[in-house]
Amino acid sequence: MFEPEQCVILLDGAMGTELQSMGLMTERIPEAVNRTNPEAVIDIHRRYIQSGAEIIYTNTLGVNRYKLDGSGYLVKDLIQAAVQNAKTAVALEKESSDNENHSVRIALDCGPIGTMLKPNGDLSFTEAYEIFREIVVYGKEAGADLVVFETFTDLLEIKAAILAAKENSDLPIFASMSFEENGRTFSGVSIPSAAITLTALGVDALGINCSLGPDQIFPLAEEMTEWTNLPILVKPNAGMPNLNTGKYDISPDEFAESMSRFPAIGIHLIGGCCGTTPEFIQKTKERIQSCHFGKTLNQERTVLCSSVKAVVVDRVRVIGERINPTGKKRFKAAITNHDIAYILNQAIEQTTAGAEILDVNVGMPGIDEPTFMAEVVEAIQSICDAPLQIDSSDPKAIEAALRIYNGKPLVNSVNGEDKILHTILPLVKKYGAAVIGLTLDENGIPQTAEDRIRIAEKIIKTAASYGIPKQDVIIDCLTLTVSAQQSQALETLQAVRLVKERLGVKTILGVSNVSFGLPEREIINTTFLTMALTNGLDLPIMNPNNELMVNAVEAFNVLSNMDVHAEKYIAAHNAAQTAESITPVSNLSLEQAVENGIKQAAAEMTSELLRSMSPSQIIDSFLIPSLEKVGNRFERGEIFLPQLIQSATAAQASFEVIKKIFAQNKTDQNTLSKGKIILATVKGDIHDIGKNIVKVVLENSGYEIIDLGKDVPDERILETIKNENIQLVGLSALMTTTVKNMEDAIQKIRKETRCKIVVGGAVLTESYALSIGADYYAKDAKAAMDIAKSVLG
Amino acid sequence: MQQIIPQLSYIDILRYLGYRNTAIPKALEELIKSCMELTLQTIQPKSIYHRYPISVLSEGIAVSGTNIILKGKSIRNHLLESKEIFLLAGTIGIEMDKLIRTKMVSSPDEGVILDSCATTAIEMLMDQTENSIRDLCSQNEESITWRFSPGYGDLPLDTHINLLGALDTSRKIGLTVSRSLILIPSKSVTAIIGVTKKVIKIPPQDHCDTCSKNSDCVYKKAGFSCSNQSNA
Repeated sequence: MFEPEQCVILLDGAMGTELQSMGLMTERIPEAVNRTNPEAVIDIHRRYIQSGAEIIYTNTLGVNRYKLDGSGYLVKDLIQAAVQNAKTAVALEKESSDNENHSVRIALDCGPIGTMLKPNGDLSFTEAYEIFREIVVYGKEAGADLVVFETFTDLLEIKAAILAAKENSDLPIFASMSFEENGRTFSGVSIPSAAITLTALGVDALGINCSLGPDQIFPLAEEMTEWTNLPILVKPNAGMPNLNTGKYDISPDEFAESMSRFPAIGIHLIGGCCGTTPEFIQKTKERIQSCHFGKTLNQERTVLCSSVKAVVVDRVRVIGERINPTGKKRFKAAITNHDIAYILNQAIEQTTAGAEILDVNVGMPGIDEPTFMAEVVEAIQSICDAPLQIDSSDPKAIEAALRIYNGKPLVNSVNGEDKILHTILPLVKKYGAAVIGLTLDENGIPQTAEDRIRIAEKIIKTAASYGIPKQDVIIDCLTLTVSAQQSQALETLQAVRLVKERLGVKTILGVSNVSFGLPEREIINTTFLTMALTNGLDLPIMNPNNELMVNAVEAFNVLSNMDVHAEKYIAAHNAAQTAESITPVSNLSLEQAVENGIKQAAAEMTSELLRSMSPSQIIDSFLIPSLEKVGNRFERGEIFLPQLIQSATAAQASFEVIKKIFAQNKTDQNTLSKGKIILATVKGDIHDIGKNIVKVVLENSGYEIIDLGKDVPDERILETIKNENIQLVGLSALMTTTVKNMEDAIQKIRKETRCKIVVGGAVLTESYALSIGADYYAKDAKAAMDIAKSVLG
Repeated sequence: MQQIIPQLSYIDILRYLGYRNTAIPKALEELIKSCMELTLQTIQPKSIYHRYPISVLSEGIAVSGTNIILKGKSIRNHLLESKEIFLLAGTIGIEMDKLIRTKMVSSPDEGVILDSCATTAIEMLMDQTENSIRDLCSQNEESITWRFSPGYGDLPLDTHINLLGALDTSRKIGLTVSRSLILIPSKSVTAIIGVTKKVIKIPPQDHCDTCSKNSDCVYKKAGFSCSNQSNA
């Protein structure tokens, strides 16, 4: 639609602040002016065209179903009117213009919805997608030439918008986000993450608008050029706004002067945002006519990201393998019991231990893998910054995760089989991911390195045919078990070397398989890892909690001159020395450990006691009495909240040791439990800290907790009560508005079950709780403990 | 507008944690101190305010130049002496929500402490913002009322929506409201301050009179007041 290599394309300036200066922004829906005063909108468009704008944005930034709700205006009507106004302006200018070649494009302008997506807000990805789909469909029908998503601060929200545009139109897409001076959006999105993700999603141009003036945006735009080869657009405000007066601080001449620096760093599309006027655009046009245009293409790098963190594969990066049920009984139990918190802890533990990317595999017979995979990916991304590797053999599970993934993930995996390549690669391309290619095909794993390379070549070539560049394909030459096929270890290592040398792609290996069946596997694993690294392995998939293996990677990065000045090595190992020296030696009993809230001692003492006592003896004689004692001290005000929680988490550390033993012995964990309790924060409410405090205390007082999370629909609570035959449900709500939803939930539960209901939350009181139909009111976690005891024993 | 909170009040953090003058183990004290540090590193305090004339209509108090009508008796009483008001809003940012969420999973004791640190931070931010407004007004020999938030007394919570719209908070400080009228980021406050010609002295118990928890307030029982806590 344009040839940006040769020229700068001029965009228009502000619409909203122009209308404001004409006194036309007083309505609740500012875009209503498209219908109430179309002449004013047409006039502004015409003045921008006269000043040189080649692309004009329709006056539709805030037009969406969410914002128009209850206003009496419809999305369809306002979009039609706005596109028509832009068309009229273009037609009128064409009539009166001498220059017949002057062609102006109309961009359908679309801003953020105005309320936040999960996990920060309560809007689901699908709801956001539907809102954008409607906008795009009407915009296209009305005759827009392209669609611009601008002023976004949430990367997942703009991804929903881009997918809605791609799946429902063939309009070119511009995607632009607003950054603060620290180079982050309000939701923490970094420039590299935005650029990498938007580029991978296949937009036509990406960029930065609003929030800052040209001088503040300049370094951010410069940074952005390092992370994309696509055209970049920049629409700064007329300087920095004074937030309390609404005035902007630079003149049209100063703006033009500052904008004239952008072409030299390769910015193709230039315009203005809040506070700019046709004069700003005209001065900018005059000023940039004589500008030198420069842009050097970036080197092609392999890079993955979340919305806040980008990981470039420019040195060895550890991929954590622990989120995977294969061979892990405790993990399988967590999946069966829908224990998301256990999985999240695995994520935090691995990144703390040094993993920079996390593999996520939740495949297990009998579960709805697509739904669970998406749920787990969303939950991990809500608490963890590391990019993820989506690991599944089910294309539906892969797509479900790719759709809601925030950033650019890695897909694990394809291989040389045609059917798999042609199923998975289109998904990888569409959702902007990178992909792992296993060097095997329908005939199994080739015995020689040469044959594996042939398969790697095929994968890379097929990926290219789908438009996936070579740097986004990472080859796995496959680790075989040395105890079964001893000669294969060297073959794998040779394949790694040749893949790098000949094909120039990054390599990945699951390391730990090599030692299967041998004693002291760590020795073999660490040596194999070191050999593989020397042969060019970039991404070892391994257990980052294994200190020896992590040490090998860190040492390799020093010895191969990648960890410059051994900075990372020194930082990690100096800290380790200090940690060792301060670890206390504990001589505490289990009761003392729980009462004083000392996790490590509680876990150690539990292991010790398990030699001579049964788990239920430990629970009944030590854990529960200790926690009750702590609860009573809390009630009397002798200790306060953090101490209660510390005791509960110490008990948790003890329970974790017991659960591991149970999982290994295939004992049903339910035999540990005094009963199941559902906890849920009601529909519409996303403040769940109170519920989480109650959860920590109850689950370590011997109850099994089914935590349904926050913003939980009534139906889900009811269904779980019935399916699990639940006797007690705990509901929390923070706001007066959501207490109404709590009342609705209580009524539904009452109608269909005999389950007891306990409620809690900041605005509730005992009498109010009873008046909305609850059986009990828990003012704090100790009260919840007492209620659970009276209901379940 | 970006603000700086140099230090958090240790006493306030303890108060939000329900502390009642017992001995605090050394290790816990250190944990609280390190959570205070982490909070200061994580928060992005931003606030915004604007002055508007008001007029009293039968359905409520109209805020000129906006579509806001402030409904109910409580706000009418609050603004009895005022012909102009300030609308203000502040937030400490979404990163703090994420940090608390993460810590509630991996170490809930830190999670609850960080939550109280965050509540302290937003209150300090709003105090600073109120002080800026007070300074501004004192130049014109005007005084101000204390800050009154949607949800206090009978001022409806949905006042949030138009108040945030008028201040354009989603664009300017990254503050939005959910469909259930919950402010996001969660540690955020919106408020209304009346401008008065004479000095208004409102005793602190007036805050409690408009509070729905007045009859069984845990702070009150412990001999404290929660001061101007809102949505925190």
